[in-house]
This record gives sequence, C-alpha cells and structure tokens, in this order.
Amino acid sequence: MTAKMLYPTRRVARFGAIALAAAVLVSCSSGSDDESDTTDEAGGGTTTLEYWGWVPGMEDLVATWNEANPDVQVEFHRMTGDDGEKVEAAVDAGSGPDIVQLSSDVLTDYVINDRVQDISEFVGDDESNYTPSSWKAVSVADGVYGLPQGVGPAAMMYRSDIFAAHGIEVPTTWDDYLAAARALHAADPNVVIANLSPTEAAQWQVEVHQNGASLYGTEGDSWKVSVNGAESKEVAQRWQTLLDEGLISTVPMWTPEYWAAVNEGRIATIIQAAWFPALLEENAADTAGNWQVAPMPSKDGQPAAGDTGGSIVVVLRGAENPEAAATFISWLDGSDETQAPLIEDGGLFPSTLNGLESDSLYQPQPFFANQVINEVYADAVQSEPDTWSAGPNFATAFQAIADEFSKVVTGQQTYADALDKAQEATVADLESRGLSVAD
Amino acid sequence: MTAGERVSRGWMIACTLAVVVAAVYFLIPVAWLVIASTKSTGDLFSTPGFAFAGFHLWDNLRELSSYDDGIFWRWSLNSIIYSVFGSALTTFVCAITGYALAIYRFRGRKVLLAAVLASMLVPGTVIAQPTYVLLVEMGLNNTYAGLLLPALVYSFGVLLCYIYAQASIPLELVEAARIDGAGEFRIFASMGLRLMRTGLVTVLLFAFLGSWNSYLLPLLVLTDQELMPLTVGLTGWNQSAISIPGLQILTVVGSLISIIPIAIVFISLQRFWRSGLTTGSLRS
Amino acid sequence: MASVTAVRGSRRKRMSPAGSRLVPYVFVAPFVVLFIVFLIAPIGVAIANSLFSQQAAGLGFGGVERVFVGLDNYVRALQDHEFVVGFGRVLLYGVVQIPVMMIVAAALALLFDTGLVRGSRFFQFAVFLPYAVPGVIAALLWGFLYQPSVSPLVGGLSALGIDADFLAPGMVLWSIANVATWSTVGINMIILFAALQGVPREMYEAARIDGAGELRIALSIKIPMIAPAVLLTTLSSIIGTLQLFNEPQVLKSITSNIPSDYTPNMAVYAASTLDRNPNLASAMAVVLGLATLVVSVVVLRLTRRRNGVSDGV
Repeated sequence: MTAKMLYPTRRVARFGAIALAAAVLVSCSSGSDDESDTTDEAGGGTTTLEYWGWVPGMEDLVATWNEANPDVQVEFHRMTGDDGEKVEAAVDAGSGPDIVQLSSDVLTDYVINDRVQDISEFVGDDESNYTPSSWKAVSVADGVYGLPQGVGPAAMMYRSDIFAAHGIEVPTTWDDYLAAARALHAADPNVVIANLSPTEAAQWQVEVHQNGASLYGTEGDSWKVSVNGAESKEVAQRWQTLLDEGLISTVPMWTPEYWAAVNEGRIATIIQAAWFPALLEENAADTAGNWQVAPMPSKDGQPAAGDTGGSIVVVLRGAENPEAAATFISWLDGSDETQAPLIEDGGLFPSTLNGLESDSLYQPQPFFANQVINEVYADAVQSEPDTWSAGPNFATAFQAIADEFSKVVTGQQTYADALDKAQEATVADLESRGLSVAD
Repeated sequence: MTAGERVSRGWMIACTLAVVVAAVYFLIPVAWLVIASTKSTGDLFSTPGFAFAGFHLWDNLRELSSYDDGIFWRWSLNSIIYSVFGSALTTFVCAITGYALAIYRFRGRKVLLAAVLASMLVPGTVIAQPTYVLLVEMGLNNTYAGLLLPALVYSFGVLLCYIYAQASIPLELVEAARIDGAGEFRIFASMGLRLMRTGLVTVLLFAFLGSWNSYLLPLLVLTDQELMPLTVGLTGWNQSAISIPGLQILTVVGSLISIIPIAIVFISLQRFWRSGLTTGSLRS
Repeated sequence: MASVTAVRGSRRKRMSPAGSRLVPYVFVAPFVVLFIVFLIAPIGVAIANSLFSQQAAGLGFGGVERVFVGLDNYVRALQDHEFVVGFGRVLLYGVVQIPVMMIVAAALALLFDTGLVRGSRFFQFAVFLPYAVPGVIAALLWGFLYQPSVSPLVGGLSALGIDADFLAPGMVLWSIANVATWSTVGINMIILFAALQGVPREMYEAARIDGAGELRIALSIKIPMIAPAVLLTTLSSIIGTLQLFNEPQVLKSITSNIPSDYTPNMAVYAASTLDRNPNLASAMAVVLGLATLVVSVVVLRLTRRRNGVSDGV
C-alpha cells in the first residue's frame, strides 16, 4: 500500500474488523501444531531488525539492503488494514517490531505514550534532503522519531471532456468553482462538480490546510484545538452552499457506489492527493483520456494546496539497536538508490529533494492524455501553507468529524454545527487524558 | 415418505413453493458472487450485478494463484489445518469436560457449570487485548499454539457435550463397565465417546465452522502472512483494495473459493441429521 | 440456565466409587486450566483496566501515568449518549430480527421435517450455505446489493415502481438485520431440524388418527417437543444481538448512516482503537457483558414462567 493507506484503509476500510461478537458465541478458533518462532536467529555480531510496512515493492528494497549489509539483516512484514491497530498493542506488550511505517498524523500519540525512540542523534544530517513540511511530520517536541517516506499534496483532477462539452472554464478560484458547479448542474442535472464524502475527512483536511490552518496547535503548555476554527468554518460555508443547492453528491468514498459514479461521468472534479491518480486509472479505466490535472482552486487564484498527510517510518520503543534501525531507514527513505523504486513500485510521492528531482517522477501519463501530472503535484508541494501541525488525538477528531458530517448530508444539521460538535468531542477526549487544552 | 402419502397434493406444492422461495433468497447473494467472480475489476463497478460481462474467471483464478507467490493457497491450507486440528482438539476437550460434568458428582461441579454458562455472555471485545498481552508474555504470539490454545475454551461446546452426555449415556452402563474392571478413562474413551458420537459430530461441525470463520484471534496473534488463515488474508485484501484496486476482484474470487470446503463438509455431514443426530438431547 | 441444568443434574444419583475421587478433576482439568488462563484471567485484567486511566499532563510529553480512577470510566460510559442509545437500538433490532429469524428457521425446519419437500437435501444446503460465508464477505456481498448504482435489486424494484433505499437512515438497521438473518437462519434451522428428527414419529401418528392436520401437528406437538432447542437458539441469538458488530461494522464502510458507535460493541471497538482509550473500552465492555447477562436472565425467567420449557435443557 502507499500513502493512500493513510486515509482509506485506516479509517474507512475498517471493513473487516469483524468477528468480535460472533467469535464469542460460536467461537472456537483455529490452530494446529506448535511451531517455533520463525525468526532467524543470526549468530555473532549480527543485528536483526523487524520492519512492518505496507508500501508495494518493499520486499525488493529490503533484499537489496540485506545483500549489502550482512551484519544488519532486516525482516519485512507486510501490514494489511487492521494490522495498524495491532502495532500499538504489540509495542505496549513488548512484542512490537523495531521499525514501523505510520501515518504521520498518529506520531504525536506514539510520542506521548512512549512508543517511539528519539533518533535525532543518528539522522540529524539527513534533514537537508527532506522538504521542510515532511521533516516537521517526524519532529515532535524537540525529538526526531523517524524519517518521512512520502507526502500527499493535493490537486484537482477534472473531466476535460465534460467541461469542454458544456463550454465551462476549469475553475481556478473557489468563486469560479461555485459558478462552474452551478453551470455544470444546469447543463446536465446528472453531473455534479464533486463528491464530498461524509465518511472520511481527508478532503476536509486538504481544504482546511489550504486555507492556512491546522486542526491542532499549541499555546504554551496547552493544546489548542481548531476543528471549528475560523478557517475551518469558512470551508464549511463553502460546502454548505454546494450542498444546499444540490451541486454535489455525498456518496461515501471508496465504495462501489462511488466508483460507479466516477465511471459513469457523474463527477466532474476530484480534489485528491498525489497517490490518487493511480487508483483512478485502475478503477475507471474506461474513462482514459478524459481526465486532466490542475492545481486545486484557491481563494485568489494564486497557487495554494493542501495535503492529506504523509507516511513516516519510525523506530519503536522496543528496538535494541536504534542506531542500526536509523541507518537502515536513512538509506531506505533518503538514498539516491531507493528513490526510483519508491516512486515507481511504491507509488509514493517523494518527501525527499533527490526524489523530487528523480526523472521517474515526471513521466507523461497516458490515462491523463499524456499530461505530466506530477509537475502539478510537485508545484502543489511548494505552495502548501506552512501551518499544519499534528496533534494528539487525530483519529478521534477525524472520526468525530466523519460521524457529524454524516448527519449533515441527511439534513439533520449544518456543516458548521457538525464542526462545533466535533470540536467538543475532541477537546473532551483530550481533557479525559489529563492533557491541558487552551480555550 | 410415510407422512407424505397421506397428505394432499396441495400441501406438497405449497411446501415446495415455500422452500423454493426461501432458497432463492438464500442463494441470490451467492449467485452474485459467482457472477462477479467472472468479471474484471472495471466491470465489477460498471456492469449490472446479475449480468455477465467479459468472462475473466480463468484470468482471475490465475491472478489469484500468482499474486504474492500464491499466498492465497497458503492461507487456504492454513485455514484447513487450523480448522481440522483445532476442531478435533476442541471437540475432545469439550467431550471429556462435558462427560465429567454429566457423569460425576464432585465438589465445584455446579460452580464450573455456572461459569461455563456465564462465560457465553462475555463479549469478545472484553478479553481480546488482555489475551494478546498474555500470549506475548507466554511467548506464544505469532505461533500456531497461540492461536490454538485460547480457541480450546469453547463453552458452548462444553455445554452441548454435557447435554449430550446426560441424554445418551445411561449411568447403569458406566456402573456395569466399572464392575467389569474398566478404568475411568477407558470407560470414557471406549463407551462414552461412542455413545455421544452423534452429538460430538455437531460440536465438531460448530467448532470447524468457528475455526474456519474465526477472525479476531488470528488477526491479533499472527504477524506472519504465511501463518494467516483465509479470513484474515481476504479481509486484508479487501481493505488493501482501496489502494491496490486489482485486489477487489481477487477478494471476490477468493471468497467464492473459500466457501467450497465448508460446502463439502456440510454435504458430507448432512446424512447425520437425517439419522437423528442429537438423539433425544435437545428434546424434552 | 445454570440453575436449570443443576436441577436436572440433581435428579441423577451420586456416583463416587472409592479411588476415583480425583478422576473428574483430572477430566475437567485441561478445560479448567485453559478456562482460567484464557478467559477468567483476561476478564480480571479487563475489569482491573476499567478502574484505571492513563493520565498525562500539559502537552503530554512528560510521560503517561496510570492512575486509579475508581468508577470514573463507568460514569463516562453511561454518560456517553450515543453509547446508551446504542443499547436501545440493538434492543429494537433484536425484538424484530430474532422473532423473524427464528420463525423462518423453525418454519423451514418444520417444512423439511414433513418430508413433503422434493430435493430437500439440496434446499437444506441452499439455506445453510450463507453460514459458510465469512461475516466480512457476507456484508461485502450485501453491500453490493444495497448500493443503488451497482445493485440489481434496487434496479429491479425501481422498475416495479418501488423506490428502495436500503441505506437510508431509517432503513439501514433493517438492512443490517437482513444480512444477519440471511447468515444465521441456516445454522438455527439445522439445530431445530436435528431436534425434530429426534422426535419419535409415533408421537404424530396418534394425532393424525384423531384427524389433526399437518399445521396443527407442527404447532401443537412438534414445536413444544423441541422447545429446549428453540430456547437454546433463541438465547444464542439474543446474546449475539446484544453484541452486534460484524454486519454494521462492514456496512459502515459503504454508508454514512452508520456512525462509529452505532451499536454498543462498535462503541467498545471505537473507544479502544479510534480513541485509543482501552480503559474506557474495558468499562464499556463490562457494561455490555452485564447487560447481556441481565437480558438473558430476564428472558429465561419469562419463558420458564410461561411454559416451563427450560426444564428440559
């Protein structure tokens, strides 16, 4: 999986999570002979590092490393979906891996609960090779806990054929966007400008970030929560207008229903991160050639993008040789050797300067009528406001937002109400942990 | 067919009709699964559910077999191993416990019975995390044993075995065997198990199905992909399908195949119900 | 049920031949040891956890302390509006789904038992097959059948002039119930059918000679004869209903009308994973366990008072 996993898999696709109830009653589980731990205990001065991650092609990269470093052998375990929930339990029980891939949003929780190790002494020199915002994602309270492995700058994919057919300009400002939404809907009532999924808050995050805000900040020794801050409310107003006028659809993201709408050309634009185009190509192959990518609209037409958050690779509490772990991560995420595989096989959008310079990033995409779409995404990285910062209970905040947004699309409340309630839930959760929250 | 001859033809038609309607209801989603298995990922989202699109079943099966070096078949094998060994052991533990509860009077018996009953009410969510921590302490995480041992605590099975033993083992027979000089374990093994046989088949079936469908425990306990059962593997694919779209169709095809072993088990056990599997136990 | 079995047990003669005192303990030892290690101990840990809280201070970077908070987590759980509403929701669900499921299962079992159905082995197989479909997959299948754009059912119904939205806020609970019913009728049918097969056929002959019809025989002889099996399956269903999780959790991913704390068990799961608060989750789970106990006992009391069926189990 790629950085995409951050949102979709963790939140939406808790899809499986299953069997709790059923397991109890007619439970009775599996099993067979005991088998000794499969870990290869290497002898002598060899270090063995366990690494859990989800990026495709990682097995090959690890094999490359193992060949060149006989004294530091890495064992890779591929994570799927629910495994993410397991990492914390594993670390707390003392059975976690040495190294794990995380979505950057959860790092603060890991630091507070002492699940990660500060590796700044081993990776300090690496900083110059990473974009400032991605470096910020691995730095919490004076410590550096890992290295970035990809980011999620957002841009707007749009159906050039639909815009052309109705003679509508592709919007560059949010005002244009609203006008285009009305024009499109008037021209063809089956088409909406966008689908704003209530079940996940990724697009919300992107637009709030673009608007120069963050859900979290600090004030002295207290957290400041801005789920319903002014910038956030401004985005809410925009969404409310689109919803009230019936200019958007509100199908949950990642569902067959959603992909059917995309396939049938009922959605004219999709504002999503750099990892999304590959998914679009796979899930809507028949629409090839009809899509283009443009910067996401902004208030004044000047470049400004948001980000869905990145993925990072961190050294966990239980790692006995943090230096070896840090050295491996440093090679994996930052070396010249690994950039092309991470981009091509892993589908990651690089957080490194050498990655951003890699030729493999800038290939024309036949699905997008041979546009070099990553140029747009690379510009997006440059135009992101430097405001986003992570906070301690991101998952709680996002679930609260999603639960409340769901009530908006059924007409029970407005987006603004939803944000107020989500704010309340987020603050209450922080306070129940004893954390201090500024008003 | 003794009853059938005396009943009017109208009844027969009505009964059959009712069953046909029910069968349609129960088979519709399965039919969808079969049809969906023949589609490509794109067609899955863009063609009607009950209409065949391009026929890709063989491609899908080939992809299923080759994806990740054929990990799907490894999962299938694991599921079969876990279910066969797990259900056999579970049935044995349930049988000997239920037998003892039914045949002997001993101090603590009522407490144990009450505990077994009450434990059926415990939500799995309560014990999942502590169980995992415990397994780690015992060094059993990511091992077959870690998956097997907690699963042996099958209260429902113990309860069923207790009921079956009560119903099917006359105490006089046990007494007679003792007079013949048979040891207690021998009596259990040679006579008890035999008399409880039909009931044990039910427990075995439940245990097998439970193992086959078990998800939470293997998810928590196992880390290695190579050790995982089908449920965990397929669910993982389903979740990953969001980012690796090709996996969506593999999940569908894999699901279809995962039903086959259970279908075989059911068909081969079906005759037991005809012959009065529960011999009296669940009657008053 | 505990007392029920005990009553039955006490009718039996006490058997403890000399020298075999230890035998029963040896027989139950494997189960008891496993039961203590993998059930009692984890429950103890969970109850202990529910009395503590992880507390940090300031921004939280000064470390986390485990603090004894007594019943605070329970108070918080019970003050959580959505958690409490979830109980009402599953009760409503259970009041409808359990009778429907049991009636369908019993009706099918009775139909098969009459021997009037041609090809009954095939039909039994068809009814049972959904139980072989893992929960995740079952909800995934129905998910495809519920979503308007890809569903053949919605399309078919709208062709008939019926505008069905299976995922609408008021409808989604019953769509979940449908998935659960589809999955579990098979196993319950088999249990009831097995019980029916155990009833001696002679029982019906007398009634037939007296001129009773099949329906009459089914209702007034067969059903009472298998009352214990009915009770057992009903009780299992009640327990399963209160712990409702799989179906809504999977369907949650295709509709926005199932929030993360839709059922009590989902709330427990959300508290432990999304909110990363295992202490609160433990308290919620204990509340859920107690509620299950109360409902089960009430149901047993009611059925026993009404017709004394439980004596047989």
